[in-house]
Amino acid sequence: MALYDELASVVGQKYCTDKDYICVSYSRGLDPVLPEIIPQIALRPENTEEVQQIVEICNKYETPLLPRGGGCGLMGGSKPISEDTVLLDLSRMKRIINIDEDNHVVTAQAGISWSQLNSVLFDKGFYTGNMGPGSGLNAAIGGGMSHHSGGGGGCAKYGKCTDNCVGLEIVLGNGELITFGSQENQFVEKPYCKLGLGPDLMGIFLGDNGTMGIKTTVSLKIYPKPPYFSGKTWHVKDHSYDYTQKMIIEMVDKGWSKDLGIYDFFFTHPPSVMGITTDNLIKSWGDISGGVVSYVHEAFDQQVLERNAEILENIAKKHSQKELGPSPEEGNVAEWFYGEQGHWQFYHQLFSLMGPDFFACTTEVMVPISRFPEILRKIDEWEEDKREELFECDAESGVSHVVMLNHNSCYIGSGLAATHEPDYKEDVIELWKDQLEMLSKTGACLYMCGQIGSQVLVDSNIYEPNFYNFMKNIKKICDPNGIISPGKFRL
Amino acid sequence: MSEKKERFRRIRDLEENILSCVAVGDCKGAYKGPYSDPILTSSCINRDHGSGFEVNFARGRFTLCRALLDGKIEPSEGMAEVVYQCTLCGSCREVCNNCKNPDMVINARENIEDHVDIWESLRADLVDAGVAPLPRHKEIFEHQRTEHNPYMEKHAERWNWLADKADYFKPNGDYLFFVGCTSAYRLTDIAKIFLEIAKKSNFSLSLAKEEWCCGSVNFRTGVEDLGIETAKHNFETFKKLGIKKIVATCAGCYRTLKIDYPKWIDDWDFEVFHAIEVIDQEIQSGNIKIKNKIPGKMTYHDPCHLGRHNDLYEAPRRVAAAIAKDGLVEMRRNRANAFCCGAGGGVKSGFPDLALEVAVERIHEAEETEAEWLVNCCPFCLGNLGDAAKAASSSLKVVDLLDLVNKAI
Repeated sequence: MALYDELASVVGQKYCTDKDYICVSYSRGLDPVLPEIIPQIALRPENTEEVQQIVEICNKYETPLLPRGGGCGLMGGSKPISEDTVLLDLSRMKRIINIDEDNHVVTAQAGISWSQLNSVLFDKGFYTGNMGPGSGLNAAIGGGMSHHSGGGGGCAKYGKCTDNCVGLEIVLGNGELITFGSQENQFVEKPYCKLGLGPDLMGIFLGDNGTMGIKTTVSLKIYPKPPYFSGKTWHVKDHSYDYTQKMIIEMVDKGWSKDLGIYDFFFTHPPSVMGITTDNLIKSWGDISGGVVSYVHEAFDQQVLERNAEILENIAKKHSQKELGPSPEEGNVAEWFYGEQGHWQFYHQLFSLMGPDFFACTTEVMVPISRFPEILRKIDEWEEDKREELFECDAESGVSHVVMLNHNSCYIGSGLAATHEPDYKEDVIELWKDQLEMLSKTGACLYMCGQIGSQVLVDSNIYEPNFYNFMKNIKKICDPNGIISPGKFRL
Repeated sequence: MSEKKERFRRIRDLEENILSCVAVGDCKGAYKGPYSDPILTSSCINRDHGSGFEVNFARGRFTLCRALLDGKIEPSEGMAEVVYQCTLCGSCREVCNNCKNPDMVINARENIEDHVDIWESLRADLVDAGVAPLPRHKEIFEHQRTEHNPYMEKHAERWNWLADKADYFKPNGDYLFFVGCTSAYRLTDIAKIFLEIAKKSNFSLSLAKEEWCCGSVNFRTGVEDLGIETAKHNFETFKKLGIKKIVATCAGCYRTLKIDYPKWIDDWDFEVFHAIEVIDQEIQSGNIKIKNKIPGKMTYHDPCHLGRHNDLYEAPRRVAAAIAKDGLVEMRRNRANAFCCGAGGGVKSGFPDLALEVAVERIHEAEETEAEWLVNCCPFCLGNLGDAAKAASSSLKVVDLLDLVNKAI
């Protein structure tokens, strides 16, 4: 039997295709600039056993195998890089295996989306806390584990997706199946904790961008969803980087999410504010200049919510010019997103701003709180330095937002906005790589790097050499023939 | 290049809209409710039914359109098979970063505009390319060209259900009642019931003897020439009668007369109503009195052509609430996030198993409400949901809301 026939015999003809008009739909991720290569075959397995068989077949034919969850990667993580790729669409693996309400853990197949999972959890009074990546609730939980996602809501309180992972089932590149977390102990019935049985080997697969194995089952902490929330928006007119940083540090000192219930904290960078006001996208913001801070905090008790609101408000007032609000109509985007719009994630809605004329080449990085104003300035300087090159390929650079995490760091969402003009694509990719390299050499972490970022990390010698050698050795153990997600990290 | 341009002229005209898709994939299943009521459940039928490849969702289909325009792939009958496995329900359009606050204009949908329009344009381009519609649709349309209905019936028998023809083929009604093919040939009770309701009320109806199919099936499946021919014939017929207000009991006819006809007919100047709007007005004004409330809880299924396509959500609910003795209860997915019955867009005729499977899911969702009645305002939905209730051995009573109104007044 040929490759296609063998794969079809595993998942059935209905869920296996080599038709170009179907496979073409897997040729893009969120960015349309990296080459759009059509995979030779697309497959939709239903369970772990099928994934194991597929891996064995791809090994036999030495065919590259690219796992894909929700297809929401910003940096080419779910795009094939060669035409002989077998694309493994895991979205059919969406079964919730167990909700352990007593111990607050859910176990589900890795292809389930954050939306599908949370719709069930909400009914039981729970949620995943962190709601996935900023690219949206359609993303799969397996992808969240692969990319350290966080910007999709709740990361100020619950951290990155991977912070909440307590169990993983992985199919290795040789078809072997391993379970990590508390179930490393073969006598543990249900997953409940990440560590306790020796080294954190599960960590090898968290943030691996899908290179070390294929995630088939994920166990996540779940949290009771507080019934009360409040959202505020503030205008930080001058020196907004520094004032926002001071505001954050003071809020962290006063208890941040643990005591004040902060769920999300979002800083909109002055040029983004200018873009919003120029196009009159949020009418009540008028023609304000400077930055905007928005935050949401939650509580189980109305009185606690009000007390925390007062504490946060007093801090915010010290470091800002005026409140935009309190109603959405008066400019309170936090209240709008969470209270009525339901996007749950500040970042997600910003994708809409691109329109038909531009697309985003994202360079999202993680930096410590102490350094984010400095790194924002570095991005501004880079833009100034590259002004001519950007102009020549009709691209713009900028920072859209800063999203706070739950401890000592934040995400900076930056990158390029470029046109669809095919002749400029190569130049745009080079500038994109250059910005990624600059940020990495500034000390920022490319936490979800996909195809392009992972290659920059290697090509620009960002890795400490011993670490990278160790990583390559691990890859050889996990995926001896190098068939899974080839190209990423140059592994 | 010029040949390709001609082949895909409709989607090329919409290229900017297509390029506006940023591919986050909300269309696949991420409806977002507010903090207090986060629904987060998809209403796209393709997420849980059919093969579920990426191309079955708006995001993947936009990529397909781009590949056609760029000449990366060629149209084929296989491609048409995939493109037609969509009910054109508009759920993708609804969830696409849809801003609901007029003061906030951050909205991808603004750029893409109308997803359904793009899908219909793609189908029409595939028809022009000679690979569509589907073979089953072709048979139907061959028949329709001479007999003016998609049910393989004779045009001469269109009015067989009507006893007192002479009373209605006169241009003196307050409204011209556009009966439509499903009510004329399959679910004739609905037409009869609406005539009865009118008699008991304060409005009168006329019928257009020369009525043809509304053309919905043609517009939905990309067979534009037949749809336009049909629309023009009906327009001339309506003009002759001189009645300016048209009422339909079928959501598909309603959408076609209200949205499609004005696109193709320059001097279209008719007001179009759904029967339930007229009844709602009559109840509100006191011209219809509720005498016998209907026992048993009701739940209402939003037909896509009434709801998402025309924003008509509240009138049927007001009517149902007015006649329900034990109240109206909502299904989990309702109004703009309602789950399609699975029949539209040519799916019922092209992929009957898929249509039935989808409808069974809707039946189970209705059962969760513990309602006795599943009511709706579209004979096409009614037929498919009725088939599904039988297939699922459900005890739900699936009826057209008009039927219960007639019993209540």
